Order: sequence, then structure tokens, then C-alpha cells
Amino acid sequence: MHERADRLAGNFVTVDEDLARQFEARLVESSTLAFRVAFSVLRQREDAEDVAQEAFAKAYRSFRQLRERDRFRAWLVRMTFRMAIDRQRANKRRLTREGVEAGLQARLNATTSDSVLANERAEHLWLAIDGLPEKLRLVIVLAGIQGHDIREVATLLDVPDGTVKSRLFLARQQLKERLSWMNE
Amino acid sequence: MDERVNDAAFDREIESLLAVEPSPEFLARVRARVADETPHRSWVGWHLSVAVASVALGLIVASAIWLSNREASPTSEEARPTVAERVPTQPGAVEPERIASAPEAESPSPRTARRTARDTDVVAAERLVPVVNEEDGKAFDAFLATIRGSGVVLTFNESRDSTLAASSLVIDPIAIDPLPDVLEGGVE
Repeated sequence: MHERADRLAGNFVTVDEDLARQFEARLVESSTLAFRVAFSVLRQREDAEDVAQEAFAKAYRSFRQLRERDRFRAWLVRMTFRMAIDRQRANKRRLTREGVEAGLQARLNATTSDSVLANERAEHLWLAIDGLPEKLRLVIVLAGIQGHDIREVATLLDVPDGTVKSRLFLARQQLKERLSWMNE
Repeated sequence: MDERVNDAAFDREIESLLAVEPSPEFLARVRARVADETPHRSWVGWHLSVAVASVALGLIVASAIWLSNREASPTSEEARPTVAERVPTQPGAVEPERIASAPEAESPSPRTARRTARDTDVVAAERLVPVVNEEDGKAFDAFLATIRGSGVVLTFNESRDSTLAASSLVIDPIAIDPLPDVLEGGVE
């Protein structure tokens, strides 16, 4: 009787250990992806790490349903992006209350030196990406992370390749339009 | 061609924006955060174990009670007085006598045994008036024993009116009048 109970308990421990090992593997291979997705929205390292960390904690709770690699990464990307958007909105509300956003924009408009001009261009590019619809925004970000090709982005978003292509085209078009004044 | 070059340059620009590495402590922080989730799972498992143990304990207690009732039931059956024993001795009344050959003591059903054990105290407290002679009493006891053996329980009617003789009841003859003529559209 005791032997059977021990064997049963041993099976549970083995299953838990197996799950933990699989999660650790997913964590190592996807941590940078989750961080960059969050960073593309928040553009603050600490905020992005916080959001990615919470996304991994949520993923761990549901890991029994997310064991498959592609499914896990797709779920993680969507969850991280959604949580980052929520955090960005909360930050914006807070900044608006504190009147910081107006000061930042004024500083952006007033910069003149070369080094700051590069930063300014990057800042405008970020603002243009922020202005994209969420679907286009996520596609352009994922395509820009770690050199993901069309197929990988399609897998991460669980959409057909053609959808990714059309969204990527639309996203580039809109970004060019928004940034055209900088090239003139 | 120029458009493609522009796209490639544009993509490189976006890639450079996203080429940001997390801090070296990031992975360790995530592992620590995930480890915080583990107690929650253990807590759930602990509660599940308690629930299973409670159900198992309940089943064991119920089985023990059922078994003890089953073992105690023949004794109760033996202690149960027969019809003749329940009838107090009065002048001219039938002397109680137990029918040893009755099949009730041999194989009482558990259900019958439980009911009779429960009713024993109540029945013993009753003071019934004898209404049958000795032969009828024995025959009735044998009849009851046979029925109990087949799993049917009979109880005494506590109403005092049960002492009335059937011959004392008078039933008037029933007169049935002929039906009236049926008119069109119904009975008037």
C-alpha cells in the first residue's frame, strides 16, 4: 500500500519536475522576445522587464495548456503586448496628470545638436509606430525583432502568411507617410 | 528597386530601435517571480488532499455504522416480543407463548431488523387489550413471522376502535336510482 502511494506521489513529482524543466527551456528561449515586445510599446527598460516578468508568471499558471513551443510563444507575445499596452495607457494617464508629457514634447522640438538629432529621429519613429493600429503595430514590431521572417511572424500571431504580408505593407506605408516630412 | 531599398533601410532602422537587451538580472527576477507562483499551486493541492481525505473518512465512518447495525440487528430481533408476549395477562386472556419454529428468527432481512429494533421500545410500552383467543394468537404470530421472513413489516393499529368486532358494524343497503332521461344539449 505504502509502496503504491510512494510510486503515485513519485509520478506527481516527476510530472512537476518535467513541467518545470520545460518551462525553464521556454523561459530561456523567449525571455528576450517578450522583453522586446514590451519594450516596443513602453520604451522603458524597467517597465518592459516588469511587464515581461508578469507575462511569464501568467504563462506559468497556464503552462499545462501551453506546453507546445509555438503555442507558448504566440500566447506570450499576445499577452505581453496586451499587458504593455495597458501599462502604457496607465503611464500616459499618470504623465498627463503630472504634466510631464508636455515638457517632453517641448524638449523634443527644441533639440538641435547632431547626437540629439539621431535620438529625435528615433523618437519620431517610435511616435509613428505608436500611432499605428494595434494589428499593424504588432506586425511591424515582430518583423523588426531578431529578424523574424514572414512565416515566423505568422506563427507568432496565428494568422496566414498573406495576412502578415498585407499588414506589413500597410504598416510601412503609413509609417512612411507619417515620417515623410523628416526626409524633405 | 528604390522602393525595396527604402523598405530594407526602414526595416533596419526599426530593428536597431528594437535591438535592446534586457538587464542581466532579468532572467533571475523572472525565475524568482515564477517561484512565487509555486506555493499557490501547493496550496491548491493541499486543499484538494484535505477534501479527498474528508470524503474517504466519511465513507469509512458510514461503512462502520452500517456494519454495526447489521451485526446488532439479529439481537434486536430476538429481543422483540411476539404478538402473544405483548399481550398482558388478564383473566381469560391468552397466555403469551413464543413460537420457536417461526422462520423470523432464522433469517430476518436487515431492513426489517432495523425497523423492528427501532419500534421495540414503543411497542413494549403499549398496554393492549387482548381480543383474540389462544389459537388465533398463535396462528397470527405464525402469520406475522412468515411475512417478516419475506421482508414485509406489519405494525399494530394503535386506534382503540380496532377492538370493535366486525359483526357490530352495520352497513345500510345501497339504493341506486335510475338515471334521468338524457335531453338534447345535456342533462337537466
